[in-house]
Amino acid sequence: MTRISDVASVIRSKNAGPYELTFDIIFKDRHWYDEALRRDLINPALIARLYGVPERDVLGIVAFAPANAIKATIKRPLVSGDIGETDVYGAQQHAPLLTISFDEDPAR
Amino acid sequence: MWNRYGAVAEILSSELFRRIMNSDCIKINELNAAIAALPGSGSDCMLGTLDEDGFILETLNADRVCTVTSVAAHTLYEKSDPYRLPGPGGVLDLTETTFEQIDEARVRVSGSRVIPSDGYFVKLEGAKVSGYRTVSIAGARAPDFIAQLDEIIAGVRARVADNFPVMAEGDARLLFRVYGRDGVMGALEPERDALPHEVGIVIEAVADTQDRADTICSFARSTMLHFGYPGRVSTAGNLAFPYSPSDFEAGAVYGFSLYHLLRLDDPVAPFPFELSNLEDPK
Repeated sequence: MTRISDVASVIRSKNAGPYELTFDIIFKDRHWYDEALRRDLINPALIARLYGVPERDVLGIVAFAPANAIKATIKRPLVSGDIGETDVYGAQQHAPLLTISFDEDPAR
Repeated sequence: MWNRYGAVAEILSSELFRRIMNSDCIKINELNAAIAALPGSGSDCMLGTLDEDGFILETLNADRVCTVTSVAAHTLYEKSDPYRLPGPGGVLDLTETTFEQIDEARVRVSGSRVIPSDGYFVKLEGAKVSGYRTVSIAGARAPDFIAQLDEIIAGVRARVADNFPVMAEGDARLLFRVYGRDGVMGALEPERDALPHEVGIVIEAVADTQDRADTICSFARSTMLHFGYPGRVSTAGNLAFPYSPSDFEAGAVYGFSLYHLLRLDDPVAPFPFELSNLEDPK
């Protein structure tokens, strides 16, 4: 089993403005980036399942070849800094992504 | 106007960069984004040198280097779309951008285009006071308390609501943050049910006045401290406080109230610039 944490050099989360939370997965090399794309590894259903949000809250998934990167963006559960906020800058929301493996069935 | 770490992404077009340099509100010293280097860091500076149709990036710390991936990766940072970066006056289009490693430590970026927008817009952000906050910080180590925490919190909430009608009127909020369980991810936490051996608890009251927030937080804290629950053996108190006094006034709470595009006829008119010399004897 190839875990994403073995083949990615960066797995991170951050606000993209106060309304969105964006995740970046930057692969160590082109091979694993291509493989992830070929398998459609990072898809809206997977992100929705990992974060327990409806699929319509997964706002986009973008591949960025110059950085061997795939980015996913979700709607923030709260506008940044609202009462009840747990992570104002969104910098510690990436952990569920660490569980992704290349055995993942994207259709699940 | 320029986000500190977003700066590298923002200047990924020399055209836009020149436009910025020509404007009166130049603020290029914010280019301290060696976070685009390897190893990344937000504490070092980066040097950008413009040429005719691109620019070269290099770090000023010999321990770091710019690589194609580290620079390209920065266009992802704090953005939802790395190909289209909207800014005042236009959208930076990176679909044709190329990143070249010109030597071991430097990267040249070229091919970015600015697509002018229909009108000149700046982003208007505003916040307003939404209340006043008081927090109490505590910990818990009792397994039966931790196992029943949801029910205990519900019980404390009910007791507070019973004593403060303002809760029902919506003029005050009471929150319980449980670190070790879902304190960091809140609603997004997938492993909320894993039972920790210890939790950190932040009790938080937000109300229309500081005084009221203090009172509600204090009442909730003392209720939780002595709350009876089934199977309780530790009858001297449910919470461990690291501080005395245990509660802290956190002051005004702000929430986003404005997040709009403002159309301008004159881009610099809303940003008047005045230079004065304080040493001038006049």
